[in-house]
Amino acid sequence: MEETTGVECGLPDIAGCTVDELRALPGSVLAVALERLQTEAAQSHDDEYTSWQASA
Amino acid sequence: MTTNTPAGRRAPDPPAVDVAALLDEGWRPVPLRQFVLKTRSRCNLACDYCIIYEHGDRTWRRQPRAMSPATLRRTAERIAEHARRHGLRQVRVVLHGGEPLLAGPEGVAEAVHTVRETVREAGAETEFTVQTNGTLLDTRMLDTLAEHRVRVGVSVDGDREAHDAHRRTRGGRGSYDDVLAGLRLLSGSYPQLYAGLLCTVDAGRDPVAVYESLLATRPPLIDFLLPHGHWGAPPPAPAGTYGRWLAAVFDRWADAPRKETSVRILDELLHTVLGGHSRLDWVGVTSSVSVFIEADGSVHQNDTLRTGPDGASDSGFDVFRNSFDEVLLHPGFAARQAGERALSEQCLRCPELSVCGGGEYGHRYRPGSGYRAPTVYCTDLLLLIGHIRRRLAPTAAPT
Repeated sequence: MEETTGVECGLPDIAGCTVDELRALPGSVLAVALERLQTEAAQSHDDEYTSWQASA
Repeated sequence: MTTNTPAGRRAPDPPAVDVAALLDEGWRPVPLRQFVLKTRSRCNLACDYCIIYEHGDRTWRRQPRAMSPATLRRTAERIAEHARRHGLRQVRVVLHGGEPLLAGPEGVAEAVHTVRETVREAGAETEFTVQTNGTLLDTRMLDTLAEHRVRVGVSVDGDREAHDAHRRTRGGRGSYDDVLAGLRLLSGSYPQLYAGLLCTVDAGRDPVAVYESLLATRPPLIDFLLPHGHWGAPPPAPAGTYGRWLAAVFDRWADAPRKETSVRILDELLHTVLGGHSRLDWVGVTSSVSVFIEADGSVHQNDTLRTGPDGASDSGFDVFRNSFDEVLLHPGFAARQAGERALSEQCLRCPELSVCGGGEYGHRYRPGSGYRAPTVYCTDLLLLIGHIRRRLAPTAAPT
């Protein structure tokens, strides 16, 4: 399996479809959900707004 | 036990969190990023379920009809101060009410200009949205909103019958025709401004018919809102009804060959069930970064608290005396950023905690004990999440 995001490894099937089958249904709710997961997994989850000032 | 004060307003219930203890444990708030400005406190409609005027909270009676230029300027300065202090590159401002478009094109333009330029001096850009009932969306207004890059969310409750059952003028006339005229203009001539639709669920209506009626103007997003309530003022329909209603919408939405629109609650639940991070503060265990500023400059937590005791959403802070950093240490704001530390024992034992997150904060309220309770929509959310999980489960291979 080519995927390395770590997300798809936990999602071998969604609604009875394999990841490859979902890719064959571009634009469906489930395929879009999968794309969002992949995008999120590829990004940092660090909050860019964490500079809390303790003196405030 | 009565907790009414001499002024007739209920004393605060126990806070959901102890902020000093949280800080001792190492918890730190994250900065606010969404500022909801009540630029108008009155409305030209009289919807029967309105959270501002038709529930226990009477804040609107104590408000000026409009946010004054001085209050607007001070609010903008506070947002800029917050952005500068935390190095925010972007903030979101929602013009809200009442009906914010009662300010007219000039009033809206002035508000946007004041905030945008003041915040820009702090090195941050401002994204604007206006949440409107849609009755005042004419060409002149939309030209102004386009000029100032203000996106538009419109409240619509389905087809004419569903919408006019609740969203009426003070004289009792349905508002559907006026809203649809504005929506057609928005979606047809200003599609770049169209942010989406807000639909309050009436469980007595057919869910698929409501969903399909909302597709007519091709909204990029539909936000189904559960009627606001809590354990002392439960929703109109029995527990479970709303979960089944949204499950029916899920099936219709997810079975379309191509995704027709984003349905916010379903998108976030689906994403969270699949292991992703929710962007919605009432799905998943999240940190809310939203704050409400009333027309008089007082700082409030969230409109969803308005079904509770009068003044429950009021933080006691205002933009003239207090910074938003001070606001973040208010127990109500801290509770929304404290994650599991603000949840009830029942929620902490729930196997769906990571998806549900305890539900909308205002829906957790139990008179006498406060906000450390499961949401009054607990049964509904568990039903809906279970439905989504079953739909996602791999089907058995044919034998």
